[in-house]
Amino acid sequence: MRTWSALALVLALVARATGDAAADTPARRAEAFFQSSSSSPAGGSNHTSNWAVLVDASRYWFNYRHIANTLSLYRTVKRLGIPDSNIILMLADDVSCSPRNSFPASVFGNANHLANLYGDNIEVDYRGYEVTPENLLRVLTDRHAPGTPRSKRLLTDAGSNLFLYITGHGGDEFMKFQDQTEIMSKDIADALEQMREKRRYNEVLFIAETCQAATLAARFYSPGVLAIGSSEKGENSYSHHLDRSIGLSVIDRFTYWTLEFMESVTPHAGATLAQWFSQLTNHRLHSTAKPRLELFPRGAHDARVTDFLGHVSKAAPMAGGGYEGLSSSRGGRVRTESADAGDDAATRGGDGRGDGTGGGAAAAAAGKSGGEGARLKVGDEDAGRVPKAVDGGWATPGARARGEGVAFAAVSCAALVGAAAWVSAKAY
Amino acid sequence: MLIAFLLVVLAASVGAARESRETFQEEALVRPLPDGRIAFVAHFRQETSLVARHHETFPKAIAQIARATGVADAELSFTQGRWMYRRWGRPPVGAKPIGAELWAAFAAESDEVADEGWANLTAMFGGQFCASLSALRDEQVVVEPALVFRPWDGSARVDRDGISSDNRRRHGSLPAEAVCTENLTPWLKLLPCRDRAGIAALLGSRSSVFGAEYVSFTARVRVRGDALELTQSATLVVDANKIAREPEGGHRLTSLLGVDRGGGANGIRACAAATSTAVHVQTKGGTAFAFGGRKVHTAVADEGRRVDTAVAADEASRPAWLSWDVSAAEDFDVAVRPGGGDEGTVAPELYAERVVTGSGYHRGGISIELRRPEGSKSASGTRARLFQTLPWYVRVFIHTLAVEMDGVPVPVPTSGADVGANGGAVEALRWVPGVDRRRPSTMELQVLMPASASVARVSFKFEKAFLRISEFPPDANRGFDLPAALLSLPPVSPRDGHEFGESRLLDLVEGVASEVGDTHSEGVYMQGALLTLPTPDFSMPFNVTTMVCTLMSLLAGALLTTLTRRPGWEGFGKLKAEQRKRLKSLEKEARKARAGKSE
Repeated sequence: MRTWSALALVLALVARATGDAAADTPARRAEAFFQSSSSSPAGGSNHTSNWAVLVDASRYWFNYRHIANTLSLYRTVKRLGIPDSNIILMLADDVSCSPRNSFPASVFGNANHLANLYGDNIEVDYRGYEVTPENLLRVLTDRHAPGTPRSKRLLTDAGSNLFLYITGHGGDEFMKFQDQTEIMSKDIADALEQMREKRRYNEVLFIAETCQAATLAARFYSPGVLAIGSSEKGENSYSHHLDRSIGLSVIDRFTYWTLEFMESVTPHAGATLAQWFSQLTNHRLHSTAKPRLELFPRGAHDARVTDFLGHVSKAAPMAGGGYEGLSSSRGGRVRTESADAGDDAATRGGDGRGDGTGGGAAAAAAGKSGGEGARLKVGDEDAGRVPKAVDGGWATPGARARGEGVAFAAVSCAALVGAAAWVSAKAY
Repeated sequence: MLIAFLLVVLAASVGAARESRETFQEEALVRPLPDGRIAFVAHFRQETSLVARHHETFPKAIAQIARATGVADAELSFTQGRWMYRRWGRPPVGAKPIGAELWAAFAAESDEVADEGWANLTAMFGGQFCASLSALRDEQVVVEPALVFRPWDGSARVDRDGISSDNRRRHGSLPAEAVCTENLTPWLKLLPCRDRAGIAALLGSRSSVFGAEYVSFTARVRVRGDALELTQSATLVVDANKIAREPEGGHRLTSLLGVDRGGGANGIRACAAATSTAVHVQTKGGTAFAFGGRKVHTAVADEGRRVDTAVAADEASRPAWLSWDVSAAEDFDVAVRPGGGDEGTVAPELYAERVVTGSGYHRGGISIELRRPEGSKSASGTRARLFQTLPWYVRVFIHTLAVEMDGVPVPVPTSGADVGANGGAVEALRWVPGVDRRRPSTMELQVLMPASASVARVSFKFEKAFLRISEFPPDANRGFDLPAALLSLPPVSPRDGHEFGESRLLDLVEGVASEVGDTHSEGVYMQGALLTLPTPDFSMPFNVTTMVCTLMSLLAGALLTTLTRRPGWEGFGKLKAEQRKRLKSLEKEARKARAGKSE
């Protein structure tokens, strides 16, 4: 221990000496730093930390694919460097250890079973009955009961880029939670606005994988929010393929093709959102995935995938300057004293969940999964002839969603009042 | 000046080194079960100083939780599956109820302080172990046990005053809690070597752990004066029939637990941070072969090289232990061959089973049967304590509580004064009725089962309450899980010749806690039960809305008609139309006449 601190001291002194040797004025150094931003790994984004909220809103075994969807994105953000302390994972049911699962402690998003999405090192922050619209809004707006552990809180600030992913059964401007409650587009829009007012985000990438998914973002009005849904209004979203050993569709089309693209993304490759979205064609999805860009002036061509799904950000300049923006990726090789690294350490120390292996595990995962992009393609040809599951509200065997019930009641009520008025007028 | 500073630093570091004297013991136990299954227990014990600000191996998170909540003793367990007492006998380390269970004792001067400590503990443990333990903060599920979850004293003291100030206990369980990787991984992360080395490496395969027929892992935090102790124990029951045998005829531990990587370095490598690492195998009637390791404390000692020991244990003797000290081993493994009989398993003093009786949505009952195993005799009868907590929506009629011994009813005391007065079999009864939406009901019963009796039955009836629509969980039609009932039995007397203090795990297995005076009772959890409550069709409110709207609109229309229609107006429109028609024809005629005049 002492050896290391001595070494660090020596290194710091050396750094200081070299910094002094380069006789720049502070103004020039600052200028150089800001000019370097365009060539930094973070691209045009000026965020300092990355957070992800991944929500599976569906309960029950037959919604296996929604959990697989969420875990696909969990795997991706973790592989690209977001640590567990910055991920809020909500799973409404436990399929991995369900007695119905013939592969205990495993969830597969592909019939080839090459990648166990559940992994050995998962942290599920909200699960089962805890996955409710209320808790999602609490997480977004950070209003919790006293004593809520830090692992369950979204501790973002004005420099945080947030990736918000929701999957489940939904419809026009609503999303069902556990077939019991629901969240409306307006609720999420207001929560995001509240986050903006509280300076809780820099930019948000919102993704919904459900039927009529684009409508879930229809009411958004806060700047800096880029939204994309798996389907337009009036369209269904479809599952990708069936796994006969599990007996269910294991993944939805939007997420399948997203994962397909993401498996080839590395933290420093600089893939853009536009490249990703161009993969999501109508031919592959059987629905229209169109990003909503009017609140996101930067555009999808300049925004990198790792601005939201990774943990690559600009670092503050150290005394002495002399370097351009450094990458501080949890899974990467370079580690600097960047703002978000400190933030992270505080988070981990606070909730007492020391995750020393997180970085190493992520690195290992990154190394391991490099070659899986190509292999994930198996099962593709299967897609044409398997029955498709639809993510529409009415397609669920369970009870009708409350909101639909209310709408139904209101419409029928109005119709009946009209009919009665007509009848009485006729009589009159 | 500098020298003085250095001296201070040196003194501080020496002090720190002294204060952070930490121990970590890891042990494993393998017991073949009669039906070809194999029970595996991993046991870890870490100890540190409560006041230490720096820890070398002890998990900081646990030390922080212990300090922040003021907890004196707490045990959290996660369990999947059920321990089959009749088939597998008494479990090596106490079996736990399905789902998650947490109990804690607080050294608190008032109940409010203890409640606050409990609220913090559930939140912190919930965050630490990725579980929905925050649901246990709800006063609807927390109870305060008086007779169980404390050292067995055998006396029938049940009054609330028996709860001393340093011993405020809280208990809560979540029978429907899912148990999976996200719970096990943080549990493993509390160990210095995680699941990379030592005994814990045997738990490295998540699919084997959760593919086991019974899996239970517990974490117990204890404060004793200045010492802070964390005991973790995991029990698995693996079906060995599904796993390939070794050429020698046994099952290698590594292949049983799915961590057999093949190749050279394959077995257990001791964790470098461990003060001791030991593996015990119970082999009455069976055989065990060890690969590597140094054998200690066995009936037949035989040192060798590759196949170290092959010991057929003496059939006549009590369960024989083979123990290996593998602290220095690089590649230790043990192969176990089950004997195929009932060797080594000991039945608990009583079997306990609970069933929900009755049919329909309104009334029901619970019947608990305590049965003495066939052929077992007890000279002075068996004293047992029953702990049953039920959610508030199960409204128990306590006057229906009936106790039978071999079918003969036994008087049940109706008030505290009667307890034990008439020398009845029911020695103590503590009953805390539930309060709707406020408190669950708790029943604690101490029964003395005479030596002559073989079956005792405790039964009572209840009524199911109606829930509000917002109180139903999303999967209400699945039913509501009732918490497991607990039967607490006197401590098991250790086997002749058992030497205490050599191994914590063996002390536990022999039924005694290692500390003198802290004899823990043997707990037998009964299986969980599902209760069907009257569950509405959840679209009902909307159907009602639609119905009401229909009726309202019909009513409004009828009302409007009645109010505006007058009997005299019957045919008024027709009359008017006729008049209009006549007027028109008159006008026409008038026009014609006018035209004729002008011509």
